[in-house]
Order: sequence, then structure tokens, then C-alpha cells
Amino acid sequence: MLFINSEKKPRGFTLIELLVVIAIIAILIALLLPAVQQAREAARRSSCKNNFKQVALALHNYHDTHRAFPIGAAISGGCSGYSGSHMFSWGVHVLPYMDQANVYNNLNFSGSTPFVPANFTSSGALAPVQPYLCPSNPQPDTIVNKAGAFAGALPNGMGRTDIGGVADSVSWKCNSGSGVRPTSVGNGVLFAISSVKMRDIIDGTSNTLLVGEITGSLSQTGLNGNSYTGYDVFDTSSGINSIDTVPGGGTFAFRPQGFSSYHVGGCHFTLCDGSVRFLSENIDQGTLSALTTRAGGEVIGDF
Amino acid sequence: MPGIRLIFWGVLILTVGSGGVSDAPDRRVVKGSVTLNGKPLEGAVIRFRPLPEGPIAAGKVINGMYEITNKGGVPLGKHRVEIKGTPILPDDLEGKSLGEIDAATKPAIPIPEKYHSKSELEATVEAGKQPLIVDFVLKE
Repeated sequence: MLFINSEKKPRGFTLIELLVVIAIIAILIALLLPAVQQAREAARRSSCKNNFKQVALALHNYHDTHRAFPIGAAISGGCSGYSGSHMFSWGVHVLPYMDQANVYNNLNFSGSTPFVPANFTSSGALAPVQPYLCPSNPQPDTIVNKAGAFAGALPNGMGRTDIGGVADSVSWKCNSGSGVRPTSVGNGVLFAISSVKMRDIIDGTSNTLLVGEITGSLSQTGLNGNSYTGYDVFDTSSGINSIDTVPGGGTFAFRPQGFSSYHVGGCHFTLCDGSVRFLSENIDQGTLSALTTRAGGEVIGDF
Repeated sequence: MPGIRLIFWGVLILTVGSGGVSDAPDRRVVKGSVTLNGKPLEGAVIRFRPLPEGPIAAGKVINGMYEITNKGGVPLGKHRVEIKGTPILPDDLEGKSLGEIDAATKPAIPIPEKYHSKSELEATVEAGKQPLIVDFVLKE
């Protein structure tokens, strides 16, 4: 009997083998779990990237029709470089090219201030437009402007945006003492009363930024975000996720803010050729400036 | 048993090798004072731009004081420092219209070009745990 038993191969696993298998499974789960939790944010980031692509196509279609990119912004008077009525930002001009022709056709473009009251009631004529909203941004779809600051151009409840035009590498605004205005001298593509054509982009369309990602704050007082209807042009002078933005660790300030996003580590940009890139918040400032200018003549390395 | 040993080492290498490499530079909080012609500078933006190249760090100058804490501070190394006046908004924006805010906004204080677009200011940020104090004395 004993002899036969020792001849037989032992069936089943030893304790050590079982422990090793359990350890391997534990390590695999430990590797996989954080990845699963990041999957949702990765999906939101992809969705945001798709929004940028839609806006890029709309801007290209606008260019095909009008032979130039739309005006970036137009708040008249002061140092803006023109007088007359305020005008809508680029975000409104491209609406017909992203399936929002009905919104656009109902707008009233006459009057000294087209934003209110002709085009904005509590029922929301200029309602939120989906491609302008980043799914990672925890803000509501409309801006909060309870206190009334800037209420002439950005009333409470107007459609929000997470996409802003790239106006300049130094400053998108000017101030002659009679108020801050988007400046009409920009070295980017979308600035005040701009009319940049594809052929003006001498640096090359694949080396020049067109629009980038912006954010607001969750504050319920004052002005907490940006609208695609007015202003909506920014500069790259302070880098990405910088001061005056919530993702940069500061508090949101409407006018001095730069590009930022609630994605970790950087934000999306669309280039003039229509491609979408995620730029790191640690990008070399020289590279970012060179990407901003449309005719700076800089040689840009890998970015 | 050799099979199990192989799996064990494989998992070990996979675990160790999966650590990500960040592109973030080491940083340090920088703060200090800025005066123009002997008086504290009321409102400006201060930017540290690494030499020869790197990510920019910016901070606000309010009543002559600044502190750069954004993203953990200023990247270590040598920097070109740019200080540029910005429009000074009123403290309280509540309940004011665009026109009222514009009327209450003070225009940017003019600062000579040698301090921003053609800046000659330089600063070196060395590693350390305490905030680095760098003061700037500007003269017209």
C-alpha cells in the first residue's frame, strides 16, 4: 500500500502555490483598479477632443464660405480700434456651420448691444451649444452672473463656453483709461475685429493655434465663466493653467485669465489645420509663444 | 515550479516598470516685494521665464507684494523676470455694470520696457523648502 501511494503523483496544489497565485491576482487587481477609475476621465477627455474637432471644422467651413476666419471679438469704444455697436464673438458667427443655423437665424444683429435685450430673454435665445461645453468641467451649462457685473454683455443664464480664441502671445486686451477692450492688434488668429485669412498664417497652419480650452469657477456670485457670445479671446502670456484660473490653483478672474482645463496636466488646443492637440501645462513658454503667433517666423521643435 | 517562478518575476518587473515619468520640473515658492521709484507697485503681473527655455511661472503684484504658488511655484534654475503693469480693477465688482467697472478701473501703471519686453532682470531659484524671497527695485 505504502509503495503504491508514493508512486502516485500528488494531485492538487500546495499551500505555497496557492499563495503565489493569490498574490499574482492581487497585484493584477491593484494594477487594474486605478486604470478603471481613470477610464471615465479618459472618456470625457476624448469627448472634449471631439468637441474641439467639431469647432475646428465649423471654423474651416466658415473660412471656405467667407474667405476668412470670423472676427474674434468686438467690444467697441475705448482702445478697441473701432467705434459703433458691439458685435458678437466668433462663437456666434460659426453657429450655422455646426448645425445651429436655427439659433443663428433668429438673432437680431441690429442695435448698439446685440447681446441684450434684443437677443436674450430668460427663455434663452442664446442657449448653451453642446460642442462648446467640456464634459470634464463641473460648471452648469449657463454662466452665473448674479451681481450684474458685465451684465450688459454677459447676462446671468447665457450659454457658457469652454473654448476661447487664441488672440495674442502677449495680451488680448488693451486699456486706454476708458475701459478694458479686446485689442485689434493681435499676433494670433482670432482677436478684436480680426479677419485673418489662411494665407496670412505664414508660420504654417499646423504650427499656429486657433482655439484653446478655458474654464470658469463654481462660484454662485459675481461672474463665474465665459460665454461664446462676447469677448471669448485670450492670450498665452502666462502659460497654461496659470494664475486667475481654478485649475491653476487660483481664483477665477474674468479678464486676466488664460487657457486652462479641468483635465489633469494641460488643456486642448485646435491648430489652424484643424488638428486637436493636448498641450502640457509645463510646455516651454518659447514654444507656446511661437505656436500662438501666425507670422512670427519661429522654428518650432516637437511639442 | 519553474513556471510559477517565471510568472512571479514577470509580475514583479511589470509592477516596477509601470511607474510613470512626469514632465513636471522641480519648483519652489517665490515671494517678495516690488517697488517702482521707491514706492510699492500697486498692480502688475510678474513672470519668471526660465533661461534658456522652460515653462513660465506667473504671479500677481498687489500693493507692492507678490507670491508665486501656482503649480507649486517657480521651476528651479535661472530666470528672466518680466514685470508688467496691469489694469487695476476695483476691489468690489458686485452689482456693477460693465460701464461702471470700466469707470472704476485704474489704467495700467507704465513700467519701462527694460523690465518686461526687453527685460534685464534676472533671478536664480535654488532648491529649498522655505519660500525664496526675491525683492525687485525698479527705477524709471
